[in-house]
Parts: sequence; structure tokens; C-alpha cells
Amino acid sequence: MHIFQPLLRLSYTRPKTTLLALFAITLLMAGGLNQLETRNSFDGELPADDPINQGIEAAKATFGERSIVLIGLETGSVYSPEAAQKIIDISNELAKVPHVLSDEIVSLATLSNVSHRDWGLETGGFLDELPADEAAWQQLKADVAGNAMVLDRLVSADESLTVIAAALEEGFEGGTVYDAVSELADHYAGPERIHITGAPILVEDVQRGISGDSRRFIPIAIVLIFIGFYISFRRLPGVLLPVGMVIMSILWTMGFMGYAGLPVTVVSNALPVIMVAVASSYAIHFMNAYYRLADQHSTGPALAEATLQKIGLPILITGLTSALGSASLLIFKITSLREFGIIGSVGFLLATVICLTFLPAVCALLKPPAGKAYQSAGLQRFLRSLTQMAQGHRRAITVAYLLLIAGAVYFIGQVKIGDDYLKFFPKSHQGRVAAETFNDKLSGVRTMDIVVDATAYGGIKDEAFFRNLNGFQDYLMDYEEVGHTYSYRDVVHHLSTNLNGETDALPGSSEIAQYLMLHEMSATPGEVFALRSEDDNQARIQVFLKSSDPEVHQALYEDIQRDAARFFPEGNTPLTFGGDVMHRIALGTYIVEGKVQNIILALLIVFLSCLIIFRSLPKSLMALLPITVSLLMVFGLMGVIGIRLGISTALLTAMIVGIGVDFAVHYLVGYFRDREEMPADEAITHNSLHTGQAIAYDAASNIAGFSVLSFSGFLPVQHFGWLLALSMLLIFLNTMVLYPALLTQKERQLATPEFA
Amino acid sequence: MILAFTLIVTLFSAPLLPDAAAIMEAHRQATAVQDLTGQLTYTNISKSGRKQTRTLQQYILRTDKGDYTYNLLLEFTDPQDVAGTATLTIQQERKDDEQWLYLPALRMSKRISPSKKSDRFMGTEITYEDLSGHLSEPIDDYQYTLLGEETINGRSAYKLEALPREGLRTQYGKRLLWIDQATHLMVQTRFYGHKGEHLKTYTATDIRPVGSGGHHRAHQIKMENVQTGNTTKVQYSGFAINAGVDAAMFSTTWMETR
Repeated sequence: MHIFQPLLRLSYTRPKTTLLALFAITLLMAGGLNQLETRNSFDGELPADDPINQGIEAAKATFGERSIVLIGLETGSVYSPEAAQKIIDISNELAKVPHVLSDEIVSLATLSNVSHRDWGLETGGFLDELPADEAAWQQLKADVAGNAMVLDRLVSADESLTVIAAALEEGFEGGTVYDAVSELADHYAGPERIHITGAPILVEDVQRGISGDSRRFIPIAIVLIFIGFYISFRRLPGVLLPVGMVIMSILWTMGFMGYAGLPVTVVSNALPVIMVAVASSYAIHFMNAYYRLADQHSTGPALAEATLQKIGLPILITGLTSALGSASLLIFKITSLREFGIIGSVGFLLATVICLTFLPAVCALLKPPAGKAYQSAGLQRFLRSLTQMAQGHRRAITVAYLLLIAGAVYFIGQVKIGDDYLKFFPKSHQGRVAAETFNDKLSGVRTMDIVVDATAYGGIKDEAFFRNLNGFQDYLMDYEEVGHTYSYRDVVHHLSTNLNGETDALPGSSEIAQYLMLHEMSATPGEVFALRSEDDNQARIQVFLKSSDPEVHQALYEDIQRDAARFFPEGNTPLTFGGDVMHRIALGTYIVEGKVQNIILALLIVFLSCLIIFRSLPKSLMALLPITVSLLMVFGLMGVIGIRLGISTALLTAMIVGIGVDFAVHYLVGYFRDREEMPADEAITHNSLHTGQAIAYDAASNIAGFSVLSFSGFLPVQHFGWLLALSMLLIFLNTMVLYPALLTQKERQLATPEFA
Repeated sequence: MILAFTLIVTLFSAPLLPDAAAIMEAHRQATAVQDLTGQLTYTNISKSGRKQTRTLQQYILRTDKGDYTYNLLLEFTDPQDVAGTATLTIQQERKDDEQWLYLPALRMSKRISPSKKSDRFMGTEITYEDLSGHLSEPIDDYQYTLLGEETINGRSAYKLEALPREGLRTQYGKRLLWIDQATHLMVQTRFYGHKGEHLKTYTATDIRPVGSGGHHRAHQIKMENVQTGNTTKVQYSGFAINAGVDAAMFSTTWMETR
């Protein structure tokens, strides 16, 4: 602390200069807010050298990747004049939507079909014109039923749902597309239900949700701390000073994000609220000490100096440990988590600096408050009985904790891994309802792309390769979660059936080449190149998945990798995987891998910090105890109630360790100070009542702040918010129960009165 | 007096432009043939630059079923695995065309439903409506206005606007045409949709004489789809015009037994 003292002394010896400097810095940092950007997709979350990422990029380079908007029309039967006319009209209107590629709209109204007729081959579209009579409707139904590429993909088997899909040009503006498509859906809704979904729609929903969250969170959080500070101190400066400090901390941190080019993401979206909670907890400890020391000093500067002397070091320590805890997120390989680690570290350090300069400067300008510091009688009673219970029932407490820890460890094994993008949204969200409807009635909306390399120019037309690929696709279809697969095999099969009738025989090489030629003659280049590479040496199989569970996707991916050699016995046919589920699989892997390393690193960083501060191994280990126990309980609870370990919840450890250790540090520093002046039992009680009160206010402000995240439009952020709030409660209780119990036990075991 | 003088000077100093109808009739005469054979290689290029190249032999014979209707036989010659695949189109004035497909793997031809005007020709960016206009501009269906003269790819050309007559079913709300003044061949066309949006641009280059009958043909054409970014390039070679084509070729029997 002494190395910072000359600097900190300025705050109460030259308070006006200090405040002017802080004001100037605040203006400068606020300038960074204009440069803040939002990143709403998960592209770029994976490291460039990640093998899955490289596979995704390779598949994209060969087969391209379009963003697709999906419009679903749900009604009694899509085979009615009204519904069919809407399919035609929506398809036509979609072509006029900005950024939609007008010749890449796929629907019953646009898709070409080759189907057998008595006189030859019908090669028109399904809905070139509305069927005029019952026979024509029956023919349309038969054509759809006879085309495996349409049934269950564009039209549900129960006839109640059909999809109109539109590809968007590169560099499209998501907001413009979203508004135009929503307007279209509103216009054509009723009596049919119109669903809109697809990645561009869901990503825009996330974007709008993030903006909505930010607008809601900050005011609610600030109002909550207003109330919290008033309850804690019952004085106006006790409310206004911490609120001012919190607002400055948020402005500085978000300004830093803007200048540093760190975007607002679904993860860093939670930052303002975390800053409210953390900055206000620093302020609580400062103001608590300030009011306690008020009756001992007659001038503002003297009181400010005394307050800094008493509480400056613990605040500095907790600021550093919180920053280091957040920095432990850098161990993750996921971009938004690493970014959050940087933002959190800088933010916590900035909040510490503001707390130790702004608050003493303003306090130095104020007259010391008259009267005794406010003490809540109820809180004092609660803390006293908690301490007495902990000291009196040490054995029972030990047994209870051992049982709780054992249970938690068991349930941690049940925690599910990975985020399901769809489940970011509440159940009633239209994008989620749409996607779930498509999943239920069609062959699924999640896709895995498998690129099979035939290794030779034109190799996919070889009958042996075709036979292998055919067997491989049949194998994929055996999986319950696979709704549909689609590759050039299906095109060949469809044309072969319509030209030759149903047959079990697979076509020869020349037939395959000619059927593909026939497909080229009727399909768009986009459709052709989505299935075959330019040199016909690679084929893409699209696998449509009915399940949206990332762990199911992971298991399927591992099975396919294991079994592929059975179908391509040459052994030199490499498979490359792409598609949206692969991102999630890779993210899941990194979350698990990073999580374990993150827990170890965060605890190690905090332990080493405590070792430097306390210069004592037992004290440093003790500092870790409440947070370690609380971590086990929170992750165990996630296993019990089925909350997934995803991108947002992966932040929990860093936050719990970084913020939660504050309680331990304040408690232990307070205890050892009291211990120098009084016997052990008295020191424990005195510290539990006095430092315990500040910790209780700190915990309450954290709980209130983090609870605000429960108002988020995103379920993972909601979960993160209330789990973090619960964690704060647990760390508080564990601190206030474990320390009195252990310290009492230790003091009674030791022959000498000094601990450590 | 001064007014009359000014009028005379203006009249005699301005170049005399033919009217739009005369230009279009000259264009139709320049493209009209009794028969034509040749080889064409087309390359479809996707927006991302991926290419697909096919070569085929074309045989065209004017029919006796209308003034400017043709029989069209297209037979793929490359790549080898699709060689022999053929399509036969019998155009009929004011009626649907008749079309057949022959796949060597099946050893028989199948009748296929007539292509719509907006269908893509062989998967290229050229539609059947474009192809029909390429063989013979349907000048009775359009109202032409001469807009002026411009130089396109080094060739002096008349610039015309073609608007469909009332009731005509077409993909296009408007076309802008550039007709080469020397050969009366189309050197550029811009296609617009019914809302006035630019859809595609056709350009023809490498115009050379073919045979001794005074005919010329563009040996390279390109159709760029402005909306999708896809392009089709066509390279022609071995043109023979009015050199005689056996009418018996334009039958399913010929495709199946040759």
C-alpha cells in the first residue's frame, strides 16, 4: 500500500485538483462510447488454427455458404388455393426484399421438378400455376410425395407446413432484412400462421435483445444500488458518492472497450451490471469505514486519510484479486470469453482506482458526519446468532459441509456442456417457436455438412465412389436424430427413378454423369455447386438434425469419424465437417477444456495473490475456502437443475473467485487486525459483527446487481445472473459460517494464542 | 428567311438515322438463316468464381411451320462421360415448343414438357426467351424506339429501347438493345425487370464473317446476371451457315439410332 500512498495522499490533500483530473478523464473515456461496436454472431469465436474451424472454412471455400432466411406457412393443409396462392405471393414478394438473391428462393412456387408422366417427363415447377381441379391437386400432392428432396424438407408429411427459403447476398444488412421479412410475415399472417427464422433472423434477434438488455439493465441496477446504499447508510452522501463512483466506473470501462475495439457481445453485455455490483461493493467498504471513523476526526481531510488507512489496503487487494480472477479467462480459446477477461480486469482495476481517489477526494471536501454510524439491529442479531451457531456446532457444521460437498461433486458430473443457440431465447420467442416447429414437422433446421473427397478429378461420378457414399448416407439416416440427408446421390436417385422407375440397382458411372448433366440443365449454378465441387472431386452431404442438443451433435460427430472408414475402405478418403452445429461442437470442446484450466488458474492466481499479501500459507489457503466450497455447490446445482455450461455460464468461475474472494480478504484482514487487540473469541465476534456487516451489505449489493441480469432476454444471461447472485449469497454464508467455526477450532487447538 | 435557312442547315447537317423498325428488320434479316451448324463451348461461372465448362454441337434448321421458327438439335461432346446426351427442340409459331431429351445411358429419348420462357437454357444464365430472341428477334411483339448511337466495344451501334406490347407474357419490362451498324447483329442488350430493375447484360464480341454468303456471327458472347453475380460465357467455332443440314436429324429416331 505504501508505494501508492504518495499518489493516494493527493486525493485528500488536493481534493479539488483530484476531482478535476477525474472529471477530465471521465470526459475523455466517455468519448470511447461512440466507438463501441456490437458483435452478434459466433463467427470468429474459434481460433484460426482449430482443426474444426479449418474444416468449416475449407467446406465454405469449396461449397460456399449462404445465409438463409426461412419463412414457414403453417395451416390446415398447404394444398388449398388460399395457401398455395400465399406460397406464390410470398415467394414473389421475398424476391423484392433488399439483399435477397432473387433467383435463390426455394419454395414450391420456385422449385423445378422432374417427374414421370405417361407421355414422358414433366420438368416444370410444382406451382407454375394453381391447380385447376381435384385431379391437378392430387397430381401436385403425388409430385411432392414422390420427391424425397421436397417431402419433409419443404413440405411436412402431414401437409400442414411448408417453407420458403431465401438466400441473402454477402454483406447484407441484417436489420433491413429483418424488418422487411417481419413486415411480409405480418402482411400474410391469418388465418395461416407465418413463422420466420434462420440464422440472419435469430442473429438480429440477439442484436436487438442485446440493445434492449443494455437499455433495461443499467437504470434498474443503478436504482437498486440507490436503494441498497440508502438502506446501508441512511445518509445522502452515502448514496450519492457510491452511485457517482459506479457511474464513472461504467463510463471508464465501456469507454476503454470502445477505444480498444472490444465489442459488446452476448457475453460482455453483462458487464455494466457486473461493474455496478463490483464497484458498489468497493464503495460499500469505503463508506462503511468512513462512517465508523467519523466520530474520531474533526476535519474532512483527516477523516478521509483515516478511512484510506483503514480500508485502502483491503480494497486494493480485492481490486487486484478480482482483476486477476477475471484475467484467468484469458486461458479460454474462445474469443468473447478472452475479451471479457480483458474487459473485466481493466474494469475492476479502474473501479479500484476511482474508489481510492474519487471517494476520499469528495469526503475530504465534506464536513465529517455527525452522530453514530447506522447499524441495522436485525442484521446485527442475525450475524451474532450465525457466529454463535458456527462456533458452537463445529462438528455438525463440518459433517454438513462434507455431505454437501460430496453431493455437489456427484452432480457436477451431470452438468451438460455447450450452448444451444435456439435456447438463448425464451420458449415463447417467435424465432424459437418457428425453429421448433420446423424441427417437429420437417427434417430439422440444424445442419452438419460432410464433405467427402473422391481425391480424383471427376471422382464423384465413379460408380464405386457413388456406392460407398450411398451406403454412408444410409448409415447416417439410421440415426434417430438425423432427420434427412441430402447430396448429389439424392438428385441421381430421383432422376433415375423418374426415368427408369423404382429400382434397387445403383447407376453406373456414365448414368451418374448424365443424370448430373440433366440436373445442371434445370438447376441454378448455386444449387449445383452446393452439392459438387468445381472439379467433381468432392461431394457435400447436408445432414439435417432434429435434435438441437450440442452433446447429441458431438456424439454423432464422434461416431461418424469412427465409422467413416467402413464406407470408404480405401482409407484415403478424408471427411471434412462444416455447418452450423460444428461451431457449437468446437465451442463446447473449448468450454470444457478451458473451464477446468480456468478453475485451476483462477484459484491459483488468487492463492498466490493472498500468499503475497498475507505472507502465510494457512491464511492463503483459508482465503480460498469459502469460494471453493461455493463453486462446488453452484456447479452441483447446475447439474441438479439442468443448466448448461455454455459461453455465459463459463464466466461463473472467474467471477465467483475474483469477486467472492473479496469477502474472505475483508473478513481475514479484519480478524487479524482485531486479534492484535483482543482475545480470539472476542475478535471473531467483533469482526463478524463489524466487518460482517460491511460484507453483508457488499453481498446484498452484489446479489441485487446480479439479479438484474435475470431480466435479460437471453436465457444463458438470465441463468448467469441468478447463479452469480446465488453464488454471492453462498460465499457470504460460507464465509460467515466457516471462518468462525474454523478459527475457533484452530485457536483452541493451538497452544499459543497467535494463529499462523 | 433566317428561320428557313436555319432549318435547312439543321436538316442537312444532322446524320440521317434509319427508323427503329428498319433497324430491327435489318437485324432480323442478319440473324435469319436456313440452317446453321457449329460448335459451342459454354462456361457457367458462379459469383464466387467457380466454373463449369461444357461443349456441344448445335444443328439449327428453319422449319416450315412459321416464318422464323427453327428446329434445334444440341448434342454434348465434352466432357466425355456426357458425350451423346442431346436435346431436340421443335419450335412452333404461337404454340408450345416440343422437346425431347436423349440420354445415352438410357438408349432412348424421352419427351419432356415444353420449357417456359423464363427457364434457364442448359443451366446457363440464358433463358429460353433469350435464346428465342437470339435466333430471331420477335419484332412484332415489341415496340422499338431509337435512342441514338453509341460505340460498344469499338463498334458503332444504334441504341434502341424495346418495350413489350400490351398482353405479351415476358420476363422483361424493358430491354435496351445496341445493334451493330455494320453487321446489324446485336452487340449488347440490357434486360430490365417489370419494376425497372437491371437484371442481366448480354454482350457479343469477336464478330467475324462466316462463309461466303455475307453472314457474320459473334464468336464470343457473355451473359452477366447482375442480380446474382453469375455469368455464362459462350465461345463459338466452326460455324457453317446455309451449308445444308439433313432434316432427318431432327427426330427422336436419329438421336436413338445414330
